[in-house]
Amino acid sequence: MWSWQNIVTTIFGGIFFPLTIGLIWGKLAEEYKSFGGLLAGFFVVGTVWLLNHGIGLIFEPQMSGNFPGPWSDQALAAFWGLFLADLLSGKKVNWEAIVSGCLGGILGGILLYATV
Amino acid sequence: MNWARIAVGTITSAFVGYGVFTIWPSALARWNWLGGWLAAGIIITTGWWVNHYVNALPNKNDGAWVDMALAVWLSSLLGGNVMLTVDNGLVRASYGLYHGISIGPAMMTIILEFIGATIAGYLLYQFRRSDV
Repeated sequence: MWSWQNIVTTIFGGIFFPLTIGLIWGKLAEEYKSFGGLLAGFFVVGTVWLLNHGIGLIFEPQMSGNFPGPWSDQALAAFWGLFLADLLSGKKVNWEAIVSGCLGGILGGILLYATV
Repeated sequence: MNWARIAVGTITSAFVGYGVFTIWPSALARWNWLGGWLAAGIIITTGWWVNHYVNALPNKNDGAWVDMALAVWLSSLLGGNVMLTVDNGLVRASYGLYHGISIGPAMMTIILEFIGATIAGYLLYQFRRSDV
C-alpha cells in the first residue's frame, strides 16, 4: 500500500504547504492588503494544491478501492506548521481561536453531512 | 472566553470548511486541474478575508496562530466531500467520520502530514528568528 516513495512525497507535501504559507502570505498581505489575500489564494494555496492533491504528493490510499477512509486534507499541515512555529517562538495558546476552529470544523462537517 | 467571538469564528470557519469541500470537488470535476486551481482562489480568498483579514476567527497578537485550516481539515474528515456534477447534480464524493467510517485508513496520511508540518514549523521558526 505505502511505498517509501509515497512516504517521502507525503512528508515533503506536509513540509512545503505550511512553509510556503508562512514565508509568502504575510508578505503579500503586507504589500497588497486584501488583494494580497487574493493573490495568495490562487498562487499559494491553488498552486500547492495542484501538487499536493491534484498530482498527489500527499498520498491518500484510503480514497480508492477497498480501503475506505476519510479525506485528510493538506489543511492539517497548514494549521499545525503555523501553530508550532509560533509556539516555538514563545507565543501563548489562544483557546478562543482553537475552540472557534474546532467548532467550525464540527459545524462544517455537519453541513457537508446534511447536504447530500 | 468571549463566546460571541467564538460564535462568529465558528460560523465563518464552518463557511470556509463547507465551501472548500463543495466548491473544490465540483470545480475539479468540471474543469479538471484548472478547476482545482481556480477553486483555491474562489473559496480560500473569501475564507481568508472573513476569517483572517478582518479577524473573525479570533487570533491575538500574543497568541500562537490558529489558521482556518484547522476547520477546513476537520470539515472533510468529519463530513466528507460533496460535489455538483453536470450530469447527476449534487452527489457525494467521499465519506467522513459522521458516516461511521473508521479513521484508521487515513492515519498514515495524517501522521506523515504531522511530521512534515512539524519540520516546517521548526524551519519557519528558525527562518523568522534569523536576521540574514
